[in-house]
Amino acid sequence: MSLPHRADFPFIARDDAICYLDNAATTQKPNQVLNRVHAFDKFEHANVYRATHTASVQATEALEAVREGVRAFLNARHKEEIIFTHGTTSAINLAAYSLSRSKVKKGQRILLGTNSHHSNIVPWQRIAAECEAVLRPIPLNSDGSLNLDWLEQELKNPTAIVSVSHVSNSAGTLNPVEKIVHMARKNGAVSLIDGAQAVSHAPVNVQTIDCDFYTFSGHKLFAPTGSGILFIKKEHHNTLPPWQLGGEMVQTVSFEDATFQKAPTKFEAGTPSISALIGLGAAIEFLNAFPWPDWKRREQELTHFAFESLSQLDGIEWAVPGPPQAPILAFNLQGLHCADVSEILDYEGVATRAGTHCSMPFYRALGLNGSIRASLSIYNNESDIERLLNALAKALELLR
Amino acid sequence: MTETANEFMEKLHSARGWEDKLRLILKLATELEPYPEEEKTPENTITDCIAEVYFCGKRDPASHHVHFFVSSEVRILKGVVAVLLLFCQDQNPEQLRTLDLESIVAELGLKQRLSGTRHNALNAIIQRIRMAGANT
Repeated sequence: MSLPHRADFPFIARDDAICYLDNAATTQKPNQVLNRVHAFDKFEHANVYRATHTASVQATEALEAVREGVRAFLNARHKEEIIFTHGTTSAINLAAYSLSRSKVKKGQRILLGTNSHHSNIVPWQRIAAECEAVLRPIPLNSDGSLNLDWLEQELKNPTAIVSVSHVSNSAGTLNPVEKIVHMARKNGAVSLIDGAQAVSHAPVNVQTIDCDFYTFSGHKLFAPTGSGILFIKKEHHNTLPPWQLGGEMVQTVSFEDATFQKAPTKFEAGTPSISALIGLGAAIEFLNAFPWPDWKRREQELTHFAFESLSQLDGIEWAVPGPPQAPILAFNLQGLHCADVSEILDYEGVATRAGTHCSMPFYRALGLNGSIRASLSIYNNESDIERLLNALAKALELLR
Repeated sequence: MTETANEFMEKLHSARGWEDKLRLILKLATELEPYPEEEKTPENTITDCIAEVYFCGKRDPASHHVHFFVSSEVRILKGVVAVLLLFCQDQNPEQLRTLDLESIVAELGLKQRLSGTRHNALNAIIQRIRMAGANT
């Protein structure tokens, strides 16, 4: 198997390193990304698309190479379908705003997965109110998956948008996005897939999924914060109005009027996060060096080991039943508040997250006030899981 | 500072390791009087995105001494507040004003400060104790 080394990640490899199990919040960066960003900032930094000098031309070329890299990474058909954003949240806000001004009509449905991140709920709430559309959550089955029978029925109503996460950030559930997108399309609705928790765990193919929008954040893919991607299918480029205005996206301006560039520039107001995006390009190059089957096999093996070992713990309660499909493990220890447990894990140098993980409606649907979340990445290993188990044993000893 | 507060801090200082200190703090939380149900109001809610936390102070009209109550699902937070109450329970506003509550928290000798939102909730409670000292 060809896989990254822990030594590639300075945060993970340092002698006094904490046991980092909060990868669903943000991932650590490999030297390949850190060095590329550093070199760009030191020697290549210039503004882009304003090419009246060589450094700017070169920076523009470097950034456009990132766009091509992302296109290939998502297997999008056209490079201009790749829009640079500052992250998933800004990408969903862009999509929601633009759709509210072009697609959503009064009384139409906006259907959202109950296991969505708040960033895939709140922007839709606002546009639903503005457009007098009807926002409905796709309910959960007892195993925590989305209820597609309900969706099938609900789609008989006029529906503008179906938006779900590819992988749930709270419990690692893999949503059947191809099926959901197909159902939406058949009923005239556009679909958005929030891929923030998916892209670092498995290859994504937007042509196979056939979604209208797909989004992810660089900082959950070993790249710097401030870099994000929104894939917008080409057929929507002309009908969608831009979200933010100003900068290179403007074509002509008078004080009476303005005209705008074509996509992708049309959707990229202001100066992009150039060096963060250069880092995203480097992160994708880093990933491309490893075969996905090896990567997936290793993550699944570690997730399985973590699930089996944690299941041995006295009083463990999983947020959703069964081993998760992505390396996100959400659980409680019976009778203990997750905040107390995670506090003790922190004292023991184990970084997890406790709470509702920006998915309050999901936890409400499960009847839980939160959970501990241990989320793994490719650089985690069995000894990290042992450290987690030891720390949990200590929490049990102190709190029970 | 009352004798009880002194005694507790001495016990804490002589405890070995953060685990034993934490045990003492958690035990103190169990000795708190119950939080009055009628005081579980929006004004007495401490914002914390995962846990239900209430804090209130009642001032005796004659003596002006303030009596505080805390309710927290998170036991470590409740324990830390219980330590603070050893210092500030039934004090008059003037006495409350002279207390350096942050230093007391730092003195607890837990491995580190409370993390994340727990830390914010504790700060909010310290602010409320301070406000009770300010409103004379």
